[in-house]
Amino acid sequence: MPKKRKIKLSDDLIRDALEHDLESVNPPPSEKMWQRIEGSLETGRTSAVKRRFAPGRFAAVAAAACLLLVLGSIGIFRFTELAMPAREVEMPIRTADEAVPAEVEEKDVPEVTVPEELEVDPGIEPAVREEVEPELDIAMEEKDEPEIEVAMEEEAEPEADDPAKDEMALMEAPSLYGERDPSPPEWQSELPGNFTFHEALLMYADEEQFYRAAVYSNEEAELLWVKSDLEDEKLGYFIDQLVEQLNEHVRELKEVDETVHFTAADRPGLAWREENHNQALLVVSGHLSAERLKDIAAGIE
Amino acid sequence: MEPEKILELVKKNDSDSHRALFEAYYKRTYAVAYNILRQRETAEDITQDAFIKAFQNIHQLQDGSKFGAWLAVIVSNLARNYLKREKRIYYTDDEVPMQAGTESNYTEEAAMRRLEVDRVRKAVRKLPAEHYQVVVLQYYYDLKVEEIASMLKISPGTVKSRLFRARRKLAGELELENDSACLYNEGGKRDSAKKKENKAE
Repeated sequence: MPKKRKIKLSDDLIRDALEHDLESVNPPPSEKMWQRIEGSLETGRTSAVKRRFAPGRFAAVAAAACLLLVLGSIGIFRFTELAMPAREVEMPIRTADEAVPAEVEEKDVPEVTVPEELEVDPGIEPAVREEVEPELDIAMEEKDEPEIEVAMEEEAEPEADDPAKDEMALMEAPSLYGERDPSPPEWQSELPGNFTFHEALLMYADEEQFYRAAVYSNEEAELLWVKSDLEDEKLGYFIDQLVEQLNEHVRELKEVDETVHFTAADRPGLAWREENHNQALLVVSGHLSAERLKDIAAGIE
Repeated sequence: MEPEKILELVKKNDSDSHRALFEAYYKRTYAVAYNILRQRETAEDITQDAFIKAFQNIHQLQDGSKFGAWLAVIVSNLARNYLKREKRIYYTDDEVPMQAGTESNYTEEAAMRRLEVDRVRKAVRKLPAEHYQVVVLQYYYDLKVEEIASMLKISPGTVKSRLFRARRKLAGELELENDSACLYNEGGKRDSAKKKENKAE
């Protein structure tokens, strides 16, 4: 038995492992599957996955049906009760010995009308029914989910050592510009021009290197203020990495008074070094002139 | 299959070409589905759905030569959605029977390498679906970060983040110490050495 040695997790090792895993598997015979695929392509069916009839789902369906019955009963009860004349009606407690029928003269009974407020909400029943039907329909055609055109910014994966935080983060909607920063530094609450702080992000420049960023917005535009922790990073590289994260290209780079002015997607940006660290302020949506951006940057504390 | 041949089949887009693509990618597509779902029957259904969707939407594929990677994205997304819908994570691993002929006589070095590959393979299977997806796309299909980002419609930063976390999880799973982890970050065919040079200038 060969003795264990330390593994160096190289790219080649991962590649070999995947090749071994994907190419040595023994799938079911392909002929039958191809026939099903061919058949589906001809008929236009999209899904082979059938919904299983799970007991848990059945319980949910039953509960929904009961709720529907109860709501319906309450609605009918209220309708019949309040359709009676608007007068105080005492409901005597009847015992077995008491047999005092309520004497209601026919002339006192108003014609039954349906007050508007008592009409059963047409929204309730159909909505509940919609909730119920898909669960009962076991072999339904699966909804055509957009697996192909997938806007998969669906998980935010913050840099957190806490697994519980990771799990929570998976449920959050991601930002357009990066991932939510789970432990942001203190950002200014407002920038000149009524730009209010919106959210704090992490933008990954490399596998292990990220920039901290904050989004500010007002009615006219959205700004991204970015700070790098790296000390020996070239400003040009910083700008390139930053703009690449936004899936854009840098154009019109020029340096004025130790500040680099650039544009990305025809929107202005500024980058500078402060205490040996790079920072940038750029417009990511809306319209703002380079001059105004410069004024805002001057107001950064 | 050569990229040119794949491109030709994708462009042709008829029943014969679909059959050829199916035969070429069936096994690995099934493997991706199985590694996420851990159930043979469901993996079979998901694989079938993936091929159907791929052939029905093949006109959306911008670079035909990337059909395999694109199909891997479809099948892994379908598998992930299935898991979410069924509210499952992972089942106990019923080991996929390997093909006959994978065992052979090894030299000691080859045997040790084989052990390492097996350990990494098992660790990779334990990755969460979204990490497994990017690892397959980078290391098996040799896509660059930008290509993965474009295919998954996420930012390059998110791809990098997932790759980083995947490698970190692998290292943790393999119980590697820091100095033996050696988490190289070349990946695919990207020239990351050049990037490091630029960074240090």
